[in-house]
Amino acid sequence: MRRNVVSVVIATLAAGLVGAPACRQAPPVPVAEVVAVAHAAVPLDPLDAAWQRAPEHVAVLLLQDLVEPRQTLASTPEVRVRALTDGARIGFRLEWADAVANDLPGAARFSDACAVQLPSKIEPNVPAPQMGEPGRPVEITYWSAAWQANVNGRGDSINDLYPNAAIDHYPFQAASLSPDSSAQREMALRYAPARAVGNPVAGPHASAVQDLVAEGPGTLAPAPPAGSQGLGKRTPAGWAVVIVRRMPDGLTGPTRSQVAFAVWEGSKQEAGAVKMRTGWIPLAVRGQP
Amino acid sequence: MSNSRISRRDFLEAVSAAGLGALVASTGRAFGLEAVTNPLATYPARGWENAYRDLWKYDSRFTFLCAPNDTHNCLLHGYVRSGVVTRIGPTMRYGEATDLDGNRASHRWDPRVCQKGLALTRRLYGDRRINQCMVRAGFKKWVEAGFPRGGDGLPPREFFQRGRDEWVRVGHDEAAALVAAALKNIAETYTGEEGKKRLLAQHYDPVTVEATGGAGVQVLKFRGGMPLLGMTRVFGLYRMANAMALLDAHIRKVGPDQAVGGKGFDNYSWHTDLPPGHPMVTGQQTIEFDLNAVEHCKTVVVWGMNWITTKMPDAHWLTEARIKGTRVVVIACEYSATCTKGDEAIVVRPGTTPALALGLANVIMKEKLYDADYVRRWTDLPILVRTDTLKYLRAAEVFGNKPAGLANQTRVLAEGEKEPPPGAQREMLIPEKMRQEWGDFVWWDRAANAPRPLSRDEVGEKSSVGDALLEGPVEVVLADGTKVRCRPVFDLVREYAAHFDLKTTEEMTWAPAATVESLARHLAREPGTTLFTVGMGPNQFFNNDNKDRTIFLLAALTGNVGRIGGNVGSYAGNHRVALFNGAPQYINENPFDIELDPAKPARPRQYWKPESAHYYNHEDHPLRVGNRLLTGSTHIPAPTKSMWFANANSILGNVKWHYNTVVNVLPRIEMIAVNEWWWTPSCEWADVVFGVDSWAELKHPDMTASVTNPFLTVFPRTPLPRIFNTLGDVEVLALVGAKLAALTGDQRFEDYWKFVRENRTEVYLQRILNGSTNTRGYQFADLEAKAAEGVPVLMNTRTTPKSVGYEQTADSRPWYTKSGRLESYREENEFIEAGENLPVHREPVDSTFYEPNVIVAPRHEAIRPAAPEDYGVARTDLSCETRQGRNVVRTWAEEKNTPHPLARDGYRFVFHTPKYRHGSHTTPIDTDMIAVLFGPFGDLYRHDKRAPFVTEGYVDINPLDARELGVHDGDYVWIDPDPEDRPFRGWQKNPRDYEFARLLCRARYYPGTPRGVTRMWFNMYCATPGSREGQATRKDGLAKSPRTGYQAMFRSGSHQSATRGWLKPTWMTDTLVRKHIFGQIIGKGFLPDVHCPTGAPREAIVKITKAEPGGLDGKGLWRPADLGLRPRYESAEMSIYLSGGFIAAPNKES
Amino acid sequence: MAVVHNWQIGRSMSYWYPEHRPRRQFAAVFDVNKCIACQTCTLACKTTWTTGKGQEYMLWNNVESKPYGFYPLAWDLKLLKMLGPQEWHGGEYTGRTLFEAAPAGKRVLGWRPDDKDYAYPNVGEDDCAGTIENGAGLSVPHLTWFFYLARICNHCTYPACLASCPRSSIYKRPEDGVVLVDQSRCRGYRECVQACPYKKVFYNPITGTSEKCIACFPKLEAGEQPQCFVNCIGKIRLAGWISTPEKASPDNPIDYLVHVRKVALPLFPQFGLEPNVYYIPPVHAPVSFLRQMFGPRAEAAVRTYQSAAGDPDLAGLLGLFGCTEKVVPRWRRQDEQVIAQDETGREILRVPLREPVHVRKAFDEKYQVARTNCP
Repeated sequence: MRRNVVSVVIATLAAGLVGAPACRQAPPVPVAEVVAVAHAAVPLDPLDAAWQRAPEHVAVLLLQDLVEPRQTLASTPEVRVRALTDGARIGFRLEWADAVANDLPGAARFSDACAVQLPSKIEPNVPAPQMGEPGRPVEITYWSAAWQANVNGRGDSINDLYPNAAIDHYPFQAASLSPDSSAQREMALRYAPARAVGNPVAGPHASAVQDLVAEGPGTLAPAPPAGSQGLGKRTPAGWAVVIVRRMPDGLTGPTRSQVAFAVWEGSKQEAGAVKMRTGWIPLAVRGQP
Repeated sequence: MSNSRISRRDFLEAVSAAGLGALVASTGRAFGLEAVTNPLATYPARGWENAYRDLWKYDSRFTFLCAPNDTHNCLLHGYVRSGVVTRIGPTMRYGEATDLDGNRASHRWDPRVCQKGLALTRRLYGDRRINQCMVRAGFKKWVEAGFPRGGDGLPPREFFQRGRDEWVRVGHDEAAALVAAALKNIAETYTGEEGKKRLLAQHYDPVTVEATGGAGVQVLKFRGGMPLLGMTRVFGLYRMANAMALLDAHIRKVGPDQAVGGKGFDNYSWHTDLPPGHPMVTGQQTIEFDLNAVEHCKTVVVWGMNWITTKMPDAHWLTEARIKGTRVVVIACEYSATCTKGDEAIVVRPGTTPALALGLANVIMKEKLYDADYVRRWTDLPILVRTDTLKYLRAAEVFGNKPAGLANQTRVLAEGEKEPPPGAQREMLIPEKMRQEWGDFVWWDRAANAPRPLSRDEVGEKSSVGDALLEGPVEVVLADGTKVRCRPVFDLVREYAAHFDLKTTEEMTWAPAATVESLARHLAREPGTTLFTVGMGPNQFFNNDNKDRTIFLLAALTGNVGRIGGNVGSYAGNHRVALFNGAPQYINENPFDIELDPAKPARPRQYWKPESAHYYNHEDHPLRVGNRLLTGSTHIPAPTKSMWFANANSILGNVKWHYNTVVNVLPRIEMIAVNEWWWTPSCEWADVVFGVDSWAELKHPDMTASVTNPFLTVFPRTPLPRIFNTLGDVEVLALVGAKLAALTGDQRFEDYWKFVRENRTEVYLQRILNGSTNTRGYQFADLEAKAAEGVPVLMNTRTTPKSVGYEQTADSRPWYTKSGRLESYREENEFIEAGENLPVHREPVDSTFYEPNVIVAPRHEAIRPAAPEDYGVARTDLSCETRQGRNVVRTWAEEKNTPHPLARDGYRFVFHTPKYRHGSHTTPIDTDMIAVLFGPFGDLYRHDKRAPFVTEGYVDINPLDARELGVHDGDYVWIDPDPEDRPFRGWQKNPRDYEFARLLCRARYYPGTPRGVTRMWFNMYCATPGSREGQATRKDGLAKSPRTGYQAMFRSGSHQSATRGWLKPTWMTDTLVRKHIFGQIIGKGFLPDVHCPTGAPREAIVKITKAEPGGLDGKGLWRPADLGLRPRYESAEMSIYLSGGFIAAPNKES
Repeated sequence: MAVVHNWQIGRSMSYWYPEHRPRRQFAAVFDVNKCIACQTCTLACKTTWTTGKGQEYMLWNNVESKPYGFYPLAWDLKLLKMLGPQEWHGGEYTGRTLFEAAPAGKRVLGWRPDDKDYAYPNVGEDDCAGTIENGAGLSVPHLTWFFYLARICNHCTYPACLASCPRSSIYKRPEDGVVLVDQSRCRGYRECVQACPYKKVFYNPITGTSEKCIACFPKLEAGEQPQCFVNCIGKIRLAGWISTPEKASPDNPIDYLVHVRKVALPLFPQFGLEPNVYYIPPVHAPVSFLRQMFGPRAEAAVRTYQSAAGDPDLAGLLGLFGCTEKVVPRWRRQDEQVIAQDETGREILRVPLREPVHVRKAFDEKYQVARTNCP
């Protein structure tokens, strides 16, 4: 299922609006594509004023109802997106409404999260918007509120998740092991199998985001590190998250790529395929850094 | 830098850095994962599985022995990784155990382990391990200030703020010096006339002051908790008590002949494990048998024993015997865990065992179903009793002859003849004087219509008793021509038992009449094929000796004593130190004449004196009722001024009447020293805590054995380095010995522990092996080598499974009684005065809805007790103290209409405190993973901050009763016992201590307990001032002492808030004839762990009131009840579930 | 969806993947009548596999008191209610399995426990159905009753966890049928936690992945039984390999108990997972409840078990449980001895039907000492 993407008109429209000095004061009117405005540096802080330079695209979120397990009830309706680029990197600022922050993991506690997806290659025929397709990979950068909390300083102990928990002992904390010795660290790793095998979701998390690649549903895999970064902050209404990643090769001047977004609502136990997502949205660049 | 802007350069560096870093960790591929077509068939990358293989690996393995006081003694493997014991497991090698003849156990004995042993990994490293030694700051100041004292000799109060004081960590050497100095000072203070004066000034009972004989060392009390559990390590405290003779010699300047040692507290009886009626019937400590014997009986009556929760590694013998056809009858006071394994489950009223046994006996006697041959050969039932004196009629009275000579496996010791050491004894040894006192007995020959003499030799095959008169009186003409009315014991008992007809028995015991009748007939059908395993339940009631005597009556009538497949066993504690009857070689080695040659045996001389700890538990005085002292002269205790104990939490932390003990008794005690490896409530209240090795770290070997299995198990030395700064228990003793040597200049204090200091403790162990009847022939080195591989050896008892009474039955060997027979009757004055010359039923002393401690009996010519008036007390005086010595007789018809004195005030619940699967006593109960599974309130994450720990104490109550009280499932409730003296005397004027002493716990709807009967498990750790402070000050609300880390499992109080120290006169006689603990010699009167008080810790009648709602943070219903998942709260679907209603169509096949 | 055969429900059913049975299937028999709820199995598992951070609440092995005990709370009750009335006709289950009852958008009918559902892991301990008001004299079956149910992962032939994983991160090992969650591939979506009816997959909130019982595969690979079997002092457990009914062989102890004597039954066979832990139902509990939990053969199984007294083979084999750490693929009885054998028929060990009584001489001439039971 290939799509021809024609969005020149929309692009021109948008072009007329961006860059005018006026928009320093009032944020630009929403545009129908995501325009990454060139800027000296890409701020990681979603509250940085520089984001006002970029026009806001309001992306309507759709149910993920193509593969099982499906999202059957709509949750988050839309995500508001701005983008900046310094030429080497492109940053997306996602903002959506979410009354309660869900960043505390637990047996039945899920984390709020969002992701940005781009095709690996810029080509007229983009891969399926649902995680790409065999031979036509997509690159995804995923942000998790729980990981953000770790980055912000939440500890790695059970009492950080359950403050009143009372645990007598972990083998790797035995008095006969000198703290932080290699034997001690090895043993700690041994008792966290997912960490022992280097599963990147297992933490401890130094970054709130993870680079991933997929070639179709169920194939999502960690990508070679692309140095992406992310920072999410609570706004009065919900989350504002900045995801900064490598600029897609060849995304310059008139060339356009595509971008898709997904949002997971922790309170609704959304995870994996159970999510709100967009289809492909044209991605353009404006100006020189 | 997350909030700052970053330049392109930073970014590019970040990429490469991340790249290098992450390449190691990431398993991801550049492209998407291979999609798996069918994970049932194939899966791509399975290399990750090595993570679990790696987790399974261990570097090395060693063996240690886990032996809390549960009788199981499990050799366990510890698995070590990076120097840490990461997990524990069974050795699976009990099946290789052999004896000296090459007999072998089978692997059906494996595995031997339990969850508590596995959880030790968490305890070995836990934060309550004792590192070095802890000394209470005030005590240290007192010692260092030179033991200042007031005019009455008492130390100033400010030095003794136990439970609230600060602690100082010191090395073992310093701690030992403090203890040695205190022992010496306390002994000096209470020596001589001056010492006695001080004790009297401190208001100790004069008889107890006299009992010291002016030797100050007599106020020093020592206790190795259940010493069988460590022949050198734990028993060593008694050796230390013996060494106090050196201190006495030093202080009083007396020689070895006048010197006395310290006092040693009892164990088996202290734990209320001793069934006090066993010596009353059999003349020796206890009958028990290895539990696998159940495979050899046709019926087992599991009586008040929660076998599957307290004998866990041996529970399979019961379930496997059942598979093979053994009928399992369970008698319990609730629908217990063990009831679920019963072919028959009988739920009875607590404390009514004597009535039930009498009800069963009555059916058998009335219907003449008894085993007449057994009755004639083995019991005193044919023996005549004089109705005037209520004594056995003596042959000398009738025939005028002297007592017969004794030849049946018996030797009479001539006046002054010294008996050989226990290990060298074969025959029963009876001092000439006692032999003469006893005389011979008389039975009535119906055929000849004439009396016949009966010597104690004439038992079993050697019995001359023929067609004996069993029923009806007979007039006997004595040698001097006088005529006396006599009745056979059988006749007296039959008349009494007749009171317990089926209707009465059902009313009293709640056991359905039809069930009682059918069980009685079943038991009589095949004599000698029933095993009665009697548990701690009935034993913890005040009428426990009545319980034993009535059960033995039932067993005697059905030929079920002394047979592998037919016997009466008592199951509580691991008591029989006589399994190593060479123990005196170690504990009683003469400190004035020490054998320093490892190859030679010691020359024992016992200087220490035993004493029942129940007097300490009874506010440190004997039993006085009105004008009478009801404690026999052989039992009189000395005041308690110092306590030093090891391997024991029961003597203080979990002591009966705990709160009265810590508030009212402790203040008069001047030193409490504890050897421990884990911070227990006993440590909370101590002055000095010696940090000692855990079982997994022992550097000195030790050994133990069991009354429920045939194994001799050794504690091998382990290669595990000590995790904290600890010493072995014996090393601590040796160290204090050295300090005493320095203080007194007497080198013998040091020599006494020579082989400990030389790391040759096995010398003492080998001496014990050589000196013990059933272990001579074993070399300790071999046993330790086997143990290190996880293999025990078999005890060379007469039989395997061992079964006490086997010799009596198989070899026609007399019992250790006056008559040589099983005695249902007790002719001694104390028993006649108590109205207990017959095996009677007394109502419980507190746990009854009726007037407590009443003898339920019809008018009977042989029941003539001393009345309250005879003691100068009013019949209406039912105060707890007086009640103990109150002999009031009522028929059941009268008794059932006389309520408990507190009933009118709302004290309507029997509150009993049995032991459970989650703790061996209190070990290792406060360990997270054990605790969280203990009962319905476990929650590691403690969603409800009120929880004192990851679980908490609770009371089981019948839902219908709870509803009446307005108490919901999971609510918090207050439980209040008799306000006269509990939780502690004087609580009304002492809010500071009442605050931690009053019992607050969860209520759990428990449909299996009858109405009016509530239950709280015995095992949990009590609240202390420190735990209360923790709950109030810690952010997480844990009941954990900020000063010591002590972790309580109650918000306040404990199961011991409702218990009390009780003394029963028949436990304290000077006349009861019984075998000595070690060997075959017979004596009479007080003997620790054989004839002495047991207390009655399962007795309490309480009032229950709602405290707080059970819902999260005190709001609403406890969640499981709210969700409709609890009894009486069932949702519609839960009701369908219970009825199996989710299966729609009735199943056709089957 | 594929069509597969499930012998436990006597029919074919639909499943997400096509039928594929492993070369050999790990299986176990648990004798509920011998279980004492000591929780040694629970601690054996806990201390071996789940003492890490985030695993505190996890019990891969647990023992609960039925009917009021659940871990997690209401695990079976909730699902039975969701599934609705369940019909059997003879040996055939004519109701819907969890796969057939899957709602739109899901592969399996299931539910996901709340954090608080994992609290109180021993709720209902020893709580009985029915009430004792006063005394009682109960005989089998007991009118007042409860029993202990020890539970591990059933390493199902048709695992719901495996079917539900959108990433196919759960697989069945061809060599032993053990079901594993790939810790390097799992992303913690918890579809498996929702799908497993026995609630034996657990989410680790510290590592963000789901974890489950691994049947101690490192031990199985060495020919040893898993930890919860070897540490079982009630001696209720026997681990081995099960055949499909038509290939059953009497000298395979699992086959003998499951297929030949039909005394051991699957847990909630109507769910359709063909679980591989087989339970000997408790003889004292009401048949109606046992049928709901173990299927239509419950009553017959109880009768067979009660007949073991006159049946040295059945009684003998039940006595072999827990005697060795080795997996026992074959067995036989020889008079009063029961013999465990390896694949090749070599003897692993033998135990007596009854532990013999040894009587020693009253006086040991060799060591010149008395031997007595009353020292």
